[in-house]
Amino acid sequence: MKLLAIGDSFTHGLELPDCPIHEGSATSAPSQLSWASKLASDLGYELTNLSIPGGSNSRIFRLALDKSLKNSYDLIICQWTEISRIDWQLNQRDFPVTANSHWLHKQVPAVDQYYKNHYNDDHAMQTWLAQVVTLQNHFKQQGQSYLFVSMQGFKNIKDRFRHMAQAVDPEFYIGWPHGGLTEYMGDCPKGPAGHPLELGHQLITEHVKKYIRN
Amino acid sequence: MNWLKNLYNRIVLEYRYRKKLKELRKRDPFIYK
Repeated sequence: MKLLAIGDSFTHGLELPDCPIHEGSATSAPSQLSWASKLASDLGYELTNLSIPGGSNSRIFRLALDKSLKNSYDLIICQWTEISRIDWQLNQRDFPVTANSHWLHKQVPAVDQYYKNHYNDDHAMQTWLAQVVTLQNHFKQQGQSYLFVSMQGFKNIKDRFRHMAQAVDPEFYIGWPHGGLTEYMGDCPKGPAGHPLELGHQLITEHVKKYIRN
Repeated sequence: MNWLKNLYNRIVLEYRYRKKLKELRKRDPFIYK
């Protein structure tokens, strides 16, 4: 049984004992203690975890589509993330960018310029909803088992996006649209950068597991 | 007086950007590097 998980630092397991933050952490191996690893281990799946710290929704969409067409998986889990992140490459390697990447904002002027002159919340929201609906319909068409989950839920979705949000199948999107990993991990201890530690990952695993059993 | 108007507009744009960036950083507080 093969499981593919694609997400950001939460699914990568950043700040867990075997996955500390360090420069270039985007290319380090995912933690063996992450919720995705625990889930795979509990349910007897062989896990491929392509999550990276700072990973964007565009990267998740791009890789999920690519891998699902190339390989065969019994289950694909996409952990969607904050919509403002962007999917760039540098020297042919993934170069994740977030609004909070202080180091990148200082070192790479284009990052600061992007958020200053080009980033727009509504555009980011529309792009992401288009990715969710497209990927969901692709999986359904292929007969591919999948589950979606958010890093954090959406409290309000603007009226202008309601028709797109309604096209998302809530049966395969855990907690859609209000729930997310930040809620499922509860008030657990967190690392200095805000990621859940072992207890948080355990709580997330237990929550996600219920949807797979059903 | 055009230079003054330009300067004012640049300051307003910079202020809006800083405010927007602060909101985004609050929404996505997770640091990875």
